[in-house]
Amino acid sequence: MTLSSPAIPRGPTLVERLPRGSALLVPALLFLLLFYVYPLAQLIGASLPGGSGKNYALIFSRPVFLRVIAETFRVSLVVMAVTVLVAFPYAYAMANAGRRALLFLTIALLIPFWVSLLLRSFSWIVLLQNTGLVNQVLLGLGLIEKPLKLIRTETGVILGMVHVLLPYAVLPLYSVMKKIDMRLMEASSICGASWFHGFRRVYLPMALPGVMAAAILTFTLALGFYITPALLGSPRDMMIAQMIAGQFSEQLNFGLGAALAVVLMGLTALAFALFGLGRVLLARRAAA
Amino acid sequence: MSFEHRALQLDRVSKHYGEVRALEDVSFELRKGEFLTMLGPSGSGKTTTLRVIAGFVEPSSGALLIDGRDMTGVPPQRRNIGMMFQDYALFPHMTVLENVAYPLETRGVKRSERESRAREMLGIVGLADFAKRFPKQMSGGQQQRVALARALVFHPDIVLLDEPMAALDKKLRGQMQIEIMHIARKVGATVVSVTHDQEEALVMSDRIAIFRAGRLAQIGTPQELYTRPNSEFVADFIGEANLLRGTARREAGTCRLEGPGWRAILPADDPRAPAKTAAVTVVLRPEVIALAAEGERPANALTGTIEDRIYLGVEFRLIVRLADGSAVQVRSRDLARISALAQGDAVTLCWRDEDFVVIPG
Repeated sequence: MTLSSPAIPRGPTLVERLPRGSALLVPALLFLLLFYVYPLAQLIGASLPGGSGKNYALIFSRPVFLRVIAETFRVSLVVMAVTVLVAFPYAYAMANAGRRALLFLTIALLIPFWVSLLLRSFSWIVLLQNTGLVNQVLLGLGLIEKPLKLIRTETGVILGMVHVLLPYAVLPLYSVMKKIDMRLMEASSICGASWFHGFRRVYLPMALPGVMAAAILTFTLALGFYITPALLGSPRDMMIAQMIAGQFSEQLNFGLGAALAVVLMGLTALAFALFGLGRVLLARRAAA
Repeated sequence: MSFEHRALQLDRVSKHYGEVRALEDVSFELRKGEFLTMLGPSGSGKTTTLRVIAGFVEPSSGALLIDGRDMTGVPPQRRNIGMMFQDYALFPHMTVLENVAYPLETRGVKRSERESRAREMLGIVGLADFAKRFPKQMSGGQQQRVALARALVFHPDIVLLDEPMAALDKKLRGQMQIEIMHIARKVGATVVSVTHDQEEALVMSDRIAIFRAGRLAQIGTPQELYTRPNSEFVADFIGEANLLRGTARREAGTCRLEGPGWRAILPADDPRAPAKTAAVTVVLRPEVIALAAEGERPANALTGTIEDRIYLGVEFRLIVRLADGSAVQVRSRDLARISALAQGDAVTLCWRDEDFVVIPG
C-alpha cells in the first residue's frame, strides 16, 4: 500500500447516477420531445403573438368563450357521472363472472372500441333520428305520440359520449374490482350486514381507487371531445374543442385558437390536480 | 329422555352439485357451549358442512336447526353466527376497532356502546392497545385474535372457525390452540371448527366429527375415537394404528380371532365378537403392545422378527415383521428388555383383552 496524497473520491457522473436501463427510454423521450413538446411550445408561442396576452384577455372577457368553457365542463361532469354509474355494475359483473361470461362481456365492451369514432357517432344518428330505431320502437309500443327529439340535443351528445367513454371507465374499475376478495362480503354478511350495508361499508370503499381512476379518465377525455358533440349536438351544445377547430379552420384566427387550446390544457391539468389531491387526502384519511 | 335444547342440529343434510355428492346424509347435534371439530382430508365435506351452517351454501336436502329454529331460507346475516375465516377476512380499510365493532354496527348498536363493547372484546383477546391499528400493520397471530374478537363480540349462538391455524407458523399454533379454547370457554361460545390437523382436533375439541367422502364417518370424544374407532379409516386417521387382518370363528363358548402370525380370544358374550364366522380387522395401538414374558404363551399374541429398533429417549419404537410380510409398530417403555434384543430376533408380543378393537371386514 502506498502513501500518496489522499485520492479525492470522484462522485458518480450524471450518467452513472441514472437507474439501469435508462437508455431504453431514449427513443420514447426523443419521440415526445419532437412530436409533443416542440409543437406544444410552438402552440404556446402562437397564442402569444409578439409576446402580447391579448388572446387570453379576449377569452376571459367575452361571455361567449366563458360560456362554452363552462358548458364543456358541465357536460363533461355529467358524462363522467353517467359513464361511471353505468360502468360500475358492468365492471362488477365482469369481476365476478365465470370465464365464458367474462369473455363475452369483454368482447361486448371492446368491439365498439375498435370501430371508428366517426362511424359510431353516425350510428347514433341513425338510431336517434326522428325516424330512427328508438323513436320507432317507442311509437310502435304506443308509449309516445310523436317522435322525441333525441338528436341535435344535449341528451344525444351525452348518450354518444357515454358510449364512447364506457370502456375507459369499465377497464380501470374492473382491474380494481377483480382484486377485491369476495370473501370480505361473506365476512360482512356473517357479521350481520345486509348486502347493501356490506356494499356501502366494505365493497365501495375498496373499489374507490377504481372509481377515481375511471372518473378522472372519462372527465379529462370528455373535455376534449370534438366529433361526437359536433355530429349529435346542436350549435348551442358546442364544446371547446369545436370552438378551437372553428378558430383554426373557419376564422383562421390561429392565435385565438392556440390560446383556447392552451386554456383547455390548463383546465384539464387543473382537473387532474384536483383529482390527485382528492386521492392523496383519501389515502391520508385511510392511513390516519 | 327429556326434551333438551340443542344449540345446533343437522338432520340428514345433503348437498349435491350435479352428479357430485359433496355432502351425504350428515346428522349430528351440538350442546350449548360445546367445542366440536370437524376433521377429515380435503374434499371430505367438512368445509361444505361449515358453509351450510353459516348459510353460504343451501343444502339440497335435510334440515339445519339453530337453537331449535329451522334455518331453511334464512340468510347468513340473520343467523347470529360468528365466523373466523381461514385467512381471517379482516376489512383492510377499517381499523382493528372498526373491524371488531362491525357486527355491532350492522345490528344498529349506538357508536359509543359498540366501541366500548369492541374494546372490551379486544381486551379479552389481549389486543387492548391495538385498537387504532390497521390489520396489515399486525402480525398473523394478532390478526387472528382480531378475527376471533370480531366473531365473538356480538355473543353469537354459534362460532365457526375455518382452518383456524392454517395461516400460522408451527410455533404459534400450539399456543393459539390453547388460547382460542380458553377464550371460547370464557365467553361460553358454542364452537364448530374445521381442520385437517388431527393434533389440533385432539387439543381443542370436546368432540370430533370425522368426515370421509362427504359422509360423517364417526363422531365422539377424542377418547372414544381413539379407543373405539368404528372403521379402519377412523382408526388410521386418529393416532397411529396397526391393522391386523384375519378371521373370527365361534368355538366352545369363545370367539377366536386369527390371522397370519397373530391370534386373540374374546369371551363369547363380548360385544366386539362377531355372531358368526367373519372376516375381521383388529386395531392395535402401538402403545398397548408389550413383549411377552419368557416362556409365556399369551392368549392374545403375535409373533415376528424385529426389523428395526429405534431409541427415542423415554421409549423404544420397534418395527416387527410378521409372517405374511406386514409390519407392526410397537412403542414400549420396557427399556431394559428391548435393549437386549437385536435386529432379526424372533419375538412374541401380547396385549390385554380390553385394549383392542374389532372391525368387521
